[in-house]
Amino acid sequence: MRDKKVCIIILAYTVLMIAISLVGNNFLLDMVVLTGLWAFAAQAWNIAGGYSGQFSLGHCAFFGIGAYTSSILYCNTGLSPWVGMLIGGVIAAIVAAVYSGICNKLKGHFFALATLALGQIMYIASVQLTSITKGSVGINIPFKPGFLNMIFNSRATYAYIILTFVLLLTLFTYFIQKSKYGYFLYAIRDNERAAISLGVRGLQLKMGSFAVSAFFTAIAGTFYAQYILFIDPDSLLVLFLAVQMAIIAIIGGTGSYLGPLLGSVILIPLSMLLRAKINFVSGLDNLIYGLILMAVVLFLPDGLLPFILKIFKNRTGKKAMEKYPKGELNLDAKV
Amino acid sequence: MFLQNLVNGIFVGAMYGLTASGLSLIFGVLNIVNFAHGEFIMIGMYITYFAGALLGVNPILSVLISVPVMLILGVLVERFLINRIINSSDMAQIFLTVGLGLVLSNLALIFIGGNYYSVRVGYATESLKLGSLLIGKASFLTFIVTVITFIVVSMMLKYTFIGKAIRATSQDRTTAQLMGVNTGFIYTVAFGLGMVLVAISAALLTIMFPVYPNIGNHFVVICFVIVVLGGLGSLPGALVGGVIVGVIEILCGYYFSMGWKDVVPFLVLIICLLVRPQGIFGTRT
Amino acid sequence: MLKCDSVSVVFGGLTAVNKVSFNVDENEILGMIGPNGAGKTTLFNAICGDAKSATGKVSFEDRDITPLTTDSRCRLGIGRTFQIPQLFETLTVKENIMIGALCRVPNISSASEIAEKIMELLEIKDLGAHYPAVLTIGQRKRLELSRALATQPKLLLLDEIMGGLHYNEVEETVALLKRIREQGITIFMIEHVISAVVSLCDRVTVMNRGGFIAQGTPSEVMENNEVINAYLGRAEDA
Repeated sequence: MRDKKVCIIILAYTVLMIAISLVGNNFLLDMVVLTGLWAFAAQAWNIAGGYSGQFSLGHCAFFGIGAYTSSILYCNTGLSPWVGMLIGGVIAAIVAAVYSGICNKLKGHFFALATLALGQIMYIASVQLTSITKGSVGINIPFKPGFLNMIFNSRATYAYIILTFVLLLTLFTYFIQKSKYGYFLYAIRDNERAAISLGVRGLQLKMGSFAVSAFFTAIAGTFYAQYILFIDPDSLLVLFLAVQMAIIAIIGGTGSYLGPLLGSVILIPLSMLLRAKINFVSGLDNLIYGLILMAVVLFLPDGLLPFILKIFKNRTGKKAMEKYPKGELNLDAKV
Repeated sequence: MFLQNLVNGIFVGAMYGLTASGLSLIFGVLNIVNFAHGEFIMIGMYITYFAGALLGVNPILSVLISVPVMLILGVLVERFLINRIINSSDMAQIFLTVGLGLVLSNLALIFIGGNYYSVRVGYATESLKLGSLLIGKASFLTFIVTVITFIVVSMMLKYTFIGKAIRATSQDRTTAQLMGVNTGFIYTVAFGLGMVLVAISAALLTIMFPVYPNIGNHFVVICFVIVVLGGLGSLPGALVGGVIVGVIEILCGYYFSMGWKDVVPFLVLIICLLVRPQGIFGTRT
Repeated sequence: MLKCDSVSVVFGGLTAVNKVSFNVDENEILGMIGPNGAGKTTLFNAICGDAKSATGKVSFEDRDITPLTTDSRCRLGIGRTFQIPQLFETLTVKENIMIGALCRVPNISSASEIAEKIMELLEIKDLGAHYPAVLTIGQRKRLELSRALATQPKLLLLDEIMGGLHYNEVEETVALLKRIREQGITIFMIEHVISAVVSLCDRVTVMNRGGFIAQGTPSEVMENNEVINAYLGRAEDA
C-alpha cells in the first residue's frame, strides 16, 4: 500500500478487531455493534447528503427496504440474508435513482421535504401491506444461528461483520473522494449550474450517488434486522431514523469520509450510556442529542472533525490539515 | 353522505390550515423550514391543557395565556437561535430546528412525562343538525375561531404598516432592506406572529386531540404539505391548502381506505413540488 | 461554426428572446452589446442549453445540438462564463479549474497539469491554493475564464467578462483574449466596455428587446442611428 491514509485506516481496523476478540462484556459488544451500524448508515447517508448535496430526510425508506426485503425473503423462502441483502440494496438503489431523477430540480429545503414524503409513504405502505409485511405487528425472524442465516450466537461475530462493512465502505468513500467523481460531486454540491456548464454530468452523478447511498443504507437495514431479529414499521421507517443518520454525519462533519465515523463514535456510546445509567429519566439521551446538534450547527458548522483536526494540528505543529480542506462544507458560504 | 364528508373535510381542513399558517408565515418571511413547529404546537397544547386542569380556564379562553407565552418564546427563539443561521445553508437551518424540536419534546417528556392528557369540554360530543347534516359543536366552534383568526391576521398583513413590511420582506429581502425595512426586526415580528398563530391553533387542537410529548410529529408533516401546497408565506394559501388536504383526506378515507388515506397528503406534496413548487397562491419561483 | 435558427425564449408572458437567427464564424470574435434586459444572457443560456423554455434550432459545427443537455454541449466544445461568477466555494482555485479540465481528461494528475498551464497563461499561478472567497472581482472573473478554458472549448461564450474591472485589468484581459483567439478558439462575447469591443471584435451585433437590431463591424455599428438611440447615446466614448 502506497497510501498512508489507507494504511492507517486498515491498522485501526485490525486493532479494533483484536480488541473485540478480547472483550467479553455484552453491553460493550452491543455498543460496538450499534456504533458500527450507525457509522455505516451515516457514511452511506453522507454519500448523498454530504458529497453531492442531496440533503435527504427519507433515508429511513431505504433502511426499511433493506430490512424488509431480506427478512421477508428469508422468512418466506429461506433465502440467505446475505443474498437478500444484495437484492434489497439493488431495489433501494433503483428506487433512489428514480426518485433523485424525478426530484432533480428541487433544491435544499424542498428536496429535504420531498424525501421526507418518500419515507412517510414507505412507512404507511409497510403498515398497510399487512399480507407482505405483517403491518404494525412486525416480523419476528426465527433464531437459527448459522453463517448462511446471518444469525450468530455471539455478539462479537456481529461486531466483526459490521466493522468489516464499515472498513469497506470507508475505503470506498475514500477512493471516491480522491477520484474525479469526488471532485465532480463537490462541484455539484457547491454550484450545480456551474458544474453542468463545465461538462459535469450533473443528473447522472446525482442519481448515481443517491443510488449508491441508498444501496448501502439498505445493507445497514438488513444487518439491523439480523441483529435485532425483529422488524416493524415503527422501528425502521420513522422520520427520526432518517434524521439520526444525518445528525451523526453532520455532528462529525459532512463531506468527508471520517466525519460520520467520528459522529457515530461520539454519539452512539454516549446515548447508550445515558440510557443505561440514567434510566430513570427517559428522554435524556435525545435531549442531549438535540443540544449537541444545536451547538454544532451554531458554533462548529463544519462539524467536529475539522475542529479536532485543527487542535491536533496546533499540538503537533504538523500540516495534518493540508490535504483536508477540500472536504469541508463551507456552511457560511453565501451564493 | 358526500355532502356530510365534504363539510367534515372542510372543518378539519380549516383547522389544519390554521395549524400550518404559522409555519407558512415563518417559511415565507425568514425562508426557514421550522422543523420544531410540531413541538411549538405541543407546547401550546400543554399550556391550554394546564390552564384548564389547574385554573379551570376554557380552552378557547386559554389563548389569553398561551398567546403571550408563545409570543415571548418565539421572540426569544428567533433572537437567540434562528437569527444566527438566517444566512447559513439550508442544512444548518433544517438541523438547528430539528435539534430544537428534539430538545423541546424531550424536555416535555422529562418534566411532564409521556402520559396522554385530554381536555374535556361538555360540547365535545354534541352535534348541531342542519337539515340532513350533522355538525359537531366542537368542530363548528373551532371553524368559527379559525375563520376569524384568518380574517384578522390577513387584514393586519394587508393594511398595517408592519404587515406591509412583513409582506415586502417575504417577497424580496434585499429590496425591502434597501427600502428602509429593518428586516432583522421584521424576522422577529414574523416569528412572533407565527407563534401567536400556533398558540391559537394549539388551543383549538386541544379540544379534539390528547396532548403528549410527540404530538407535534402528528401534525408537522401535514403542515409541510399544506405550506408547500398553498405557497410559502401565503395565509389564504394555508387556509385553502388546509381545506384541500382535509377534504381529500376525509373523502379518500371514506371511499378508498382508512389506512391508505394518510398517503394522500404526501402524494399531493410530491406532485405539488414537481409541478408547481411555488404553490397555488405563491408568486416566487 | 455556431448557427442559431429563430431561437426564442419565453418566460411566462415575457418574450426575452424573440426569433433570433445568426451565425458565429470559425475563429472570429463576435461581440454583442445592448441595454440591460435586452435578452443577451438569456440568448447565451439558450445556446448552452440552460434555458428550459427555449425554442428554435441551435447547430454547432453543422450538428443539431438542440436536444442536447448543457453538459453534453460543453463536452462538444461550447464553454461559457457567467456574468456573476459561479465558483465552487469549497474548492481551491486550482481545483475549480481542474473540474473544467476533468471533462476532457480522465485522471486527476493530467487535469492538474492542465490547470497549472492555464493558471500560468492567465497569470493567476500564485492563487492556486486559495479559496474563491478571498479573490477580488477581477480575479473571480479570471477564474471563471480559466475554468471555461480548461474544458478546451472551440467556442467560448463570455458574459461581461470585463464588467467591474479596473482600467488596467481591462487592457490585460483584451490582450489575453487576443492570445486565446490565436490558439484557434472562437469567441462570442457580451460586453459593455465599448473600448474593448472596438479593439477586439471582428463583428458586433446589437440586441434590444429580444431581437437583433444591427450587425456589422464595430465602426459600422457605432454609427448606426438605431443603435445610438437604443443604447449608446454616448458614442463618443468609443
